[in-house]
Amino acid sequence: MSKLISEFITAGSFQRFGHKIFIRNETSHTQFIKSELITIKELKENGIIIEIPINICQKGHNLTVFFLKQDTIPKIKLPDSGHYREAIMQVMAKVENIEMHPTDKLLVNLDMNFTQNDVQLWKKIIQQYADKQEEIDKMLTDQLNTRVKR
Amino acid sequence: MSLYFDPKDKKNKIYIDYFENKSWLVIENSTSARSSIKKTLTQIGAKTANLLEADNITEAENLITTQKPHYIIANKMIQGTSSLDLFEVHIKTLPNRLKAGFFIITEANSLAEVAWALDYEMDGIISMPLNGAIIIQSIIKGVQRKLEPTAYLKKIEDGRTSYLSGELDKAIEQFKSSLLLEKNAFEAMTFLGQIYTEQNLLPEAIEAFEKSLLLNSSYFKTLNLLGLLYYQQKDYKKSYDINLLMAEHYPTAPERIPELIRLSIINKKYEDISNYYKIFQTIKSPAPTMQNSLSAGLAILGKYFSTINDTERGIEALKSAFAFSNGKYEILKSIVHSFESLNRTDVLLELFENTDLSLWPKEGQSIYFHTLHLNSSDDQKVIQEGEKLLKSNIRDPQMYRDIISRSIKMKRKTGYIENMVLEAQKHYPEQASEFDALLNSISKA
Repeated sequence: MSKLISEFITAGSFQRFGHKIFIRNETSHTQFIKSELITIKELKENGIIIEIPINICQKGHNLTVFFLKQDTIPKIKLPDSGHYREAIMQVMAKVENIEMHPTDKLLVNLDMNFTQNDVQLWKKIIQQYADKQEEIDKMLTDQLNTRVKR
Repeated sequence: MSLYFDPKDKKNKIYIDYFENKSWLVIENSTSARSSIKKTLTQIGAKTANLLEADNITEAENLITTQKPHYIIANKMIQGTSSLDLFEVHIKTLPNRLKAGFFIITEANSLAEVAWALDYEMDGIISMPLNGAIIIQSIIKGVQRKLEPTAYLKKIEDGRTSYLSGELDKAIEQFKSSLLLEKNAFEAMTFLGQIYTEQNLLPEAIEAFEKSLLLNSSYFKTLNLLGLLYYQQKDYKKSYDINLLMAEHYPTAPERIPELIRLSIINKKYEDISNYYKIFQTIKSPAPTMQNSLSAGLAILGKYFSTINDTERGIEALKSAFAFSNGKYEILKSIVHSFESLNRTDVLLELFENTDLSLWPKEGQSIYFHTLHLNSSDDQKVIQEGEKLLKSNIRDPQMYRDIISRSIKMKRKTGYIENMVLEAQKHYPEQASEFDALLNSISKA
């Protein structure tokens, strides 16, 4: 039987890769768990920049940032203190800078530095993004590489 | 592979040397992202003085044409506007791509984004979140073939320069002469096919593309252009086969979904239709940029199911199409027609009434009114809803016809109906006689 185009189209290729993020503000004792409103913008060597709605926290606040797998549908509520079993990683971070979003007045970019984290686990998470990027790079360049010999 | 790039490592000298005299333009929305990217670029040899930045399209375009930066790294969306046009500006400003390049940053980090970058012949696509080491990894991969270009590749760039400046005959000569420099000259053949297509020499174009395909069956540009050419020539079987080859090698760009579904329907690949239906039903929260294409695809599936009287799957596909349409007029119109042919506009009305229409474009809201008109026996409600939309400057001729005919049915004052007819004629003078006819029907009644 001949092959079909649809056999090569998967839902997975349309899904976004990444993590869900929950935030617990240890300074103001509040939580923000609308992960669909949080976008990870940058993975720093020892920190992270996220896009988030305004007024969740202020410069200097201490936060606990919880990383969940993208497809996790949490069964347990984020506790007011302590560990969260649904998260694959949690870090303590301090808000170093808040930058207004260029077009959306209801969003800001939060620049945080980690104050307490598992360095190896963080490296592993960055590596996961790097692997995904490598898959993309490979697809772009492989088509041209029939001649490139280095 | 280690993510860390060591500028002092001997094997990295080639990159440091290459980038030492290259200028860059970083186009990003946020200040912090721009400074992170610039810092990263200095690690691979770029000089701080050669780094430009912009946070809006106008400034970026101006910098490209005046400063001619060799490389650009741009967010796909800058302050809500696509930066894609800048790619065209850049390639025309610096047609020799051995010394220039364009990297795009995308927030939608799905594999489907790759197809989009391939379409534009970008040097790389960097997906968010940004990370210095990951950016370096992508840039290095993207410039690999430019570091020590062969005579053939140099000739290809000469040809591209002539092609972009409109010197097609000169470009043809250059591409033909490049064939002597490389046995596996698939790019040259594809460029020739591209020029022949523009010159409307279609048999020659197809021959060139097919030759390229024999040399490299996975070169995206050939697959893309040849698939399109076959489709335009109505050679749907061959177009299907080329698109199959493309799907085997690359993720499918969401924008191509509607075309692929049409191709499957034309080629009677009914199993494809069922497969698409199943695949799309499993996508629960697609990226906003993908929703229109998915909606258009689902609307075509819904229409197809309605023509073969598969009501159940038709309704389900149309419901999903509606959910992802975001009120886009053309898609909604198609969804409405399919619901009409299934005789289930009641389902559509329910969908409308469970949706916050205030976020939709005006045209989408007018379709709600027509659906309400088709389904509701409550004349008062229909007229009130119509008047509300008219007050918000949402109107079309059919809306006036519906309000007028309902008003006549309700025996509203003639003055009201006459005013409504005058207003309709003011906005749609070309249909004045039709509105008059409605008015005349009062006296007949």
